[in-house]
Amino acid sequence: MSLSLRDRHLWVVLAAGAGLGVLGALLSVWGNPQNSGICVSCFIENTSGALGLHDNERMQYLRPELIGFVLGSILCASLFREFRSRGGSAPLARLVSGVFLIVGSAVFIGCPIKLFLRLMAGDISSLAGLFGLIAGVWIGLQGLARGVDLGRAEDERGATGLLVPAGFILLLVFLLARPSFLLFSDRGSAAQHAPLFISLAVGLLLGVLAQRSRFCVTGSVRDGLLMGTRSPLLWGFFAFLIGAFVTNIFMGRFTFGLYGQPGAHLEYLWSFLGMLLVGWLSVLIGGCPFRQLIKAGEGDADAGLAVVGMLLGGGLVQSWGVAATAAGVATSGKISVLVGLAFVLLISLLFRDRTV
Amino acid sequence: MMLRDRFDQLLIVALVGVLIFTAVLMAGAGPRDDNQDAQAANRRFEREMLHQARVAFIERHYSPVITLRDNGSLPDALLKLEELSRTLPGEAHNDLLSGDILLRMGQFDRAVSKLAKAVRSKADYVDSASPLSERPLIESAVSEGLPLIRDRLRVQPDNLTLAKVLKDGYYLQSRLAGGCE
Repeated sequence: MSLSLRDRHLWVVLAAGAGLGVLGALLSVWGNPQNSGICVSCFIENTSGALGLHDNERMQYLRPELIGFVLGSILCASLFREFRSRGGSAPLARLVSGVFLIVGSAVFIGCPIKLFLRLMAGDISSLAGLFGLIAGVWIGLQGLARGVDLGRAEDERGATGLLVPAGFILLLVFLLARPSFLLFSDRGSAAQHAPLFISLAVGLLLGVLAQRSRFCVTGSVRDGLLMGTRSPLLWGFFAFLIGAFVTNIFMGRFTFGLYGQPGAHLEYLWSFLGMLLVGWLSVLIGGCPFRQLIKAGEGDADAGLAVVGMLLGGGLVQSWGVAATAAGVATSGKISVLVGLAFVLLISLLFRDRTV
Repeated sequence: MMLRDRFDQLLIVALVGVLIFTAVLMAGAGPRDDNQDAQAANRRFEREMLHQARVAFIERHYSPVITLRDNGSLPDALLKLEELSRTLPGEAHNDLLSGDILLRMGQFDRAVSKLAKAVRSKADYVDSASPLSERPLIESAVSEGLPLIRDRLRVQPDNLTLAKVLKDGYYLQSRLAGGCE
């Protein structure tokens, strides 16, 4: 099967990739932390902090982009009659996977989207994470080929797929009403944010595009490894890279180098292992943290559980000092990544269909 | 199918009733009720108190050092800091002031290490929004000190201590660059 320029899906994927790259870089210009215009794991940690799940006063903000991703996805899925309440495959494994997605990202300092935003802003220290992500996706694919499978989501009674989007609608109400129990940082990276309605609009737009296109960074790497240049997602991924690179150049945000990069550390082994964990888990549960949010918006309760796990993980990585800083990775972070790798090895053993 | 029997209808009516009641309560309470306002104000007040207490603490303990530094008695200021470090071990401000004084004395490598130690324990020092911000001082240590340290390390590539100082410099540079962490 070859790629056709007349394929409308290809153009939607390209629009999603380019949108994610351009808007991801622009959100930093509009106020989000440097190289973190979009970082699902950082935003999850901020949101957990805003909800009181950790007490790092520098990481508490209810990020509107996350709300936009989920609500954009449910709006688009409903409009195109693709909303389908489904779930029920290995729910606990997916919940814990969500926790470890954030552990791996926090040790690297960023989700796969931020990895490439960092790289396209000239931060070559993120290359260690890139190699880790590719290795993780490759190992995950080897597992899939040998029968490792968490199972397929089945249609569910009771519209449980609505629960996570409903939770995000509640978060939107919280964000607009600002009840006193919400916590907002007045300094640190969480105090840096683009204007609320711009963030929300960008989130909604990207949620819509990602739902229509099924665009996902780890999915692109996976399809690239499996199908090469015949994969539309791979072309969307290139559009994402080019969009971010050109925007950073035009906005004067490109600083090539290894040292002194924003939100980066020089412990390459742990960057590699953190992203390896994220890549591997993403293949097993069907998508990176961003894709989990989009799928949760489409009614996938399994992805919804991964999102709940991510929120829990966002609280834990800050409370337990797992998250890395520019100073490096704490021992608790290193141990957590190793525990995460033990977990993914264990589920690979337990969820393997040996008849394949 | 929903609304098929009386029980479904009752559930729907109850659900609509609860939602209306919630909306009425929310609307009646206005954007915030007094209790919420008080809680939020308390939190802001406590935070402000903590900042002020820290500023007062620093002034109380470190004003002699600052006076000596401002009068140009830099070695005496360092001695005073050493004396204070015995009564206040691990205090980040001690490292920050040491870094400041060492920078004025032209001892860039020691200054950079001390400033990195201070920022590691208190990130507020690089945060422009914080009342404790010492960003200009740290920026000048990085811009003046880092090239010199790099040049010296080029001449002495086996100097492990200097390599560690360079790493501290890169750490400060990274913190100044921002990012989400």
